[in-house]
Amino acid sequence: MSKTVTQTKSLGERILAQPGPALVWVLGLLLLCALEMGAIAEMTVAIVGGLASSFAAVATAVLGGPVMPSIAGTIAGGLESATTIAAGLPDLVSRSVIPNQGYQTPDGVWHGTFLGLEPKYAWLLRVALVYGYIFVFLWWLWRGYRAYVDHYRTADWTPRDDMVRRLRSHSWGKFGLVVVICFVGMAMFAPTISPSTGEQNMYNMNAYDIQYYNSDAGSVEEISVLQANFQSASQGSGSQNVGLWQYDDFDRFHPFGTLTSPGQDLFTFMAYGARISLLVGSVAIGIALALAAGLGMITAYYKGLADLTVVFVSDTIQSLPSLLVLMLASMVFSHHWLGKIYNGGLLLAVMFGIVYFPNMWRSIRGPALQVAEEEWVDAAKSYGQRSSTTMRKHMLPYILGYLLIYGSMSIGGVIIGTAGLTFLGFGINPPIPEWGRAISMGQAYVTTPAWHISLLPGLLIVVVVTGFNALGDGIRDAMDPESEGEDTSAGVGATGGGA
Amino acid sequence: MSELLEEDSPTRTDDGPLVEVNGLKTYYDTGGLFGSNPVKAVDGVDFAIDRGETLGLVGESGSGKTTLGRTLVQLESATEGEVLFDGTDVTTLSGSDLKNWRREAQIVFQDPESSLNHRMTIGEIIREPLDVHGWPNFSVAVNDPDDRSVSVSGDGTRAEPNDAADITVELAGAAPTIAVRDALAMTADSVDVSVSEQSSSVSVSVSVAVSKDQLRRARVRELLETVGLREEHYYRYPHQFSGGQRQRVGIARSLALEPEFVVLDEPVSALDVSVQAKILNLLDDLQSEFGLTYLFIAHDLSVVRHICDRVAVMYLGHIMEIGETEELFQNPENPYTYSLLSAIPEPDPTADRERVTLRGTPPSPRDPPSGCPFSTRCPVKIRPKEFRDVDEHTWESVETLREILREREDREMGVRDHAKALLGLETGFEDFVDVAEEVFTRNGSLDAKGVETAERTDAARIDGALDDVDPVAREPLKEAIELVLADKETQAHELLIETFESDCGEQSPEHHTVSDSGRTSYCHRHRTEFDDTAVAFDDLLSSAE
Repeated sequence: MSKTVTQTKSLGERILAQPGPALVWVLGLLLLCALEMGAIAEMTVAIVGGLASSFAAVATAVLGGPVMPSIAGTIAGGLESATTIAAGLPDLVSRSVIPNQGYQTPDGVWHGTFLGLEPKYAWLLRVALVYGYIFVFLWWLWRGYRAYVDHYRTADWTPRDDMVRRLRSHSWGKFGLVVVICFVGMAMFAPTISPSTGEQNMYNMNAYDIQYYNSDAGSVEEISVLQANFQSASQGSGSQNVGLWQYDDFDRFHPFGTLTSPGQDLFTFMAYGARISLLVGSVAIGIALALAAGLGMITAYYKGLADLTVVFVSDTIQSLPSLLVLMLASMVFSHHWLGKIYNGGLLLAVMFGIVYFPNMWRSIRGPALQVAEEEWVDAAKSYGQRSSTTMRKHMLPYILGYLLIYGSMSIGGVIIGTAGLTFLGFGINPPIPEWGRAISMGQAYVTTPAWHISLLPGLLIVVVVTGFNALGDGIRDAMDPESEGEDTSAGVGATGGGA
Repeated sequence: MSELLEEDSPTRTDDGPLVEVNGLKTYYDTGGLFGSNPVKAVDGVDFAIDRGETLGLVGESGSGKTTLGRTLVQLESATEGEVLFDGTDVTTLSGSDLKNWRREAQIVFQDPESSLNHRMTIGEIIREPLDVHGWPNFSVAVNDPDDRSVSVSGDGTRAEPNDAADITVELAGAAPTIAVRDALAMTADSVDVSVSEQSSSVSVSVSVAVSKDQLRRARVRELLETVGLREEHYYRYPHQFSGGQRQRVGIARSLALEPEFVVLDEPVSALDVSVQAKILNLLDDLQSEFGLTYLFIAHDLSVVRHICDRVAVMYLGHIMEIGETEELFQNPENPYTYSLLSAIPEPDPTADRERVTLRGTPPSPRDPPSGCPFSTRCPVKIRPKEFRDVDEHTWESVETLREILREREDREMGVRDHAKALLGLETGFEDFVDVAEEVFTRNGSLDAKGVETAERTDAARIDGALDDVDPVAREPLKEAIELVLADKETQAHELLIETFESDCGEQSPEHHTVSDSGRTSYCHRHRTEFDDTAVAFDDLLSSAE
């Protein structure tokens, strides 16, 4: 390693001095982004647009008056144009490039699909390409980090290096990471990997027509998606069932089968449902983590009255039966504007955040108190560092690891809780797809050929929650040098050691 | 660097000591809801530290020396009393005044493992104080031969009269001459000064071409070299260093803001012996290089003797003796100092020196003894007249019995004990006869005295045990034992106090001046009517032979 240590250059100057690796990496990143510009834009619009339209609805509901509709109109208009622009952006891997919806004429030829492939294979190809893209993209990010470490970082070793190394040799944690990436990828690329689209399949079935070959009439005919869905619903009996990996009467391929009346495509439902699960889960955990971290550091630093107050508040919250509180809140706010944002999703997320934070705060209280007793916190005080900066610089890095662990472990609970509430009819309202509702819809058909309606969402929840827990396990072991045996140097709350 | 010292020296030879502590008390756990019984960690100390001096502070663990050090740098807030730093009472400072003062007084912690944040590089650690205080503030001193009023604008700020200015502008001559202080890694070329002179005032506008960021980095590098590390250590993490190197980093951090006063809180006790000497020499060098004033807290007496000009000996929140190091080590006046020094191992195995061992452990600072804090353990405690001649064994056993009763009174009774007491059940003193037997017999048991086991009734055992004590003390002791057996412990304790207590346990001593150099000792023995400590110890040791 030929590092010149006397340099006082900033990162920018260091990159300028040796632009090669950085340039290669940035070009690669731009190329990767350009490939999926459309999908990235669609995703951004979907998230921002959802919030904005909710906001407009809320503003209209709360403030009323003649001004608000115009604002709402502006927002809706902006949203529409944004969606159009997003749709216009080029996409290498997209529905329009690799279409899977078409019909088969009696001569066995497929019309309207990618290269005349069977819809099954066209769809599979698209999914494979999307996941391939995701993993290549992540690998490129990892390469960027390596390039930074090898060429631009001034320190030749940091405690983080050990953590990364330990996580890389943790198979269970890596399994969790892969599951989480697949789940997040499913949510992010829902419109691309679904056999159908959300608009067509769930929100606006009547507005779309599809072509199919009517063997009775011997000709290609058109039918509205709503009609087609009704006729391909899974009702549990042999003739009224579209199960796993099957085509319906309209030559549409359903990898996970269809739902009950109207028979929407289950995979599309699940992919879009992953979005809502991820959104509720991450917002709830984000709120809980922010509360837990902030209060944890304040209570550990100031102790005394601050500590007592938070103990009291968290005890109060913990003494409430959380499921009942959540149901009550869903009921009470069901007609309130707060309950309308994301069809109840935001309300649920906020409530979950509040219910989850006491436990999380308690979990990090020990580590926070421990790090607050370290002499470097005293040292910071002795040269007059502000308490907020002391907490951020000298305490937060030590509890961040715990927050990551508890966050990834609890997000599964939120996903289960949301599904559970939706199953019971609270929580997230139709037409927003939620896995719990699919389970609830299929409940009556578990013993029939339409078992897939309940079982697949249920299994997927189990896999995703296990994945998040495995990732949490991996992070915990990576943080904790003790887990490795011989290396007791870096890590959370390192103790002892000596001269 | 020596030029720097000369430059600074005029401001550092002000009259009076740098630090003066008057009646300082630091209590923990004050102000409970239902009346409080605070821990009296520091319980009224007075001393002063001169400029450039090293004052050692020694004492057992729990004597309050670390709390005292932390109070001096305002890491703990004083309960009472004042700490005068250059004449300002720093215990009353707050807000930005306190922050500004913190530049002047820094602390080096005991454990370099814990005092450096593992997630920051060495450079970031040493740099942080500089960032906090916006160092350097480019203070500008203008030397005007005509002595007009001066205003400074631009990057610079007006230097305080007593501080060493970062930039000095000399107005004599046609063009102003600029000088930059050595601690700043820039030359006068980087400073651009424009002066506009009026008849009664001068305004100076300063612009500096070097960024503060660069100056801070350079300062950190310089500090690394000052404490004997290399500048490539800037980007390393504490885990990559040995204990001694980490302590050097801690020292560099405390010196970053150029303080005048540094509290060294056992800076070498966590280090290997081979490294200790290096760190001590470094501290010594730094003191002479920067004219620092040290408060050196330690429990290793040989280290203190090596490095300190004066020593203060602390016990239970009080300073027992304070004076010149050599004098105090050669000829300790306070019984506590005497006992402490006697615990230093003698390198010569043939030397036959009697060693004084202290009985028991220090009392709880939550409930210190009345009178002299050392009275419960003092080997040469003054005795009441009638017991002045009793033998050593008798006196020792009386003191032990008092200690036992005292500890039992201090002991907090648990819920079960309270319940037992309410129900009239015994609360654990059923074995008191055993205790008495052990305390009063010379070899700890009656076995050797031929008292048959069968004959050992309680009364017989007590009589047998008291057989070994001086007849003068026998009667009150017997009465006290019987009181305890009758479950009247408090009365028993009171009886013992009344009979055997002297001034030591009843009145606080005064700080007697015991030598020409101004050494003081906190002990009743310095009153004219009593024997001096050395004499008393001689008696004690000769009687033990």
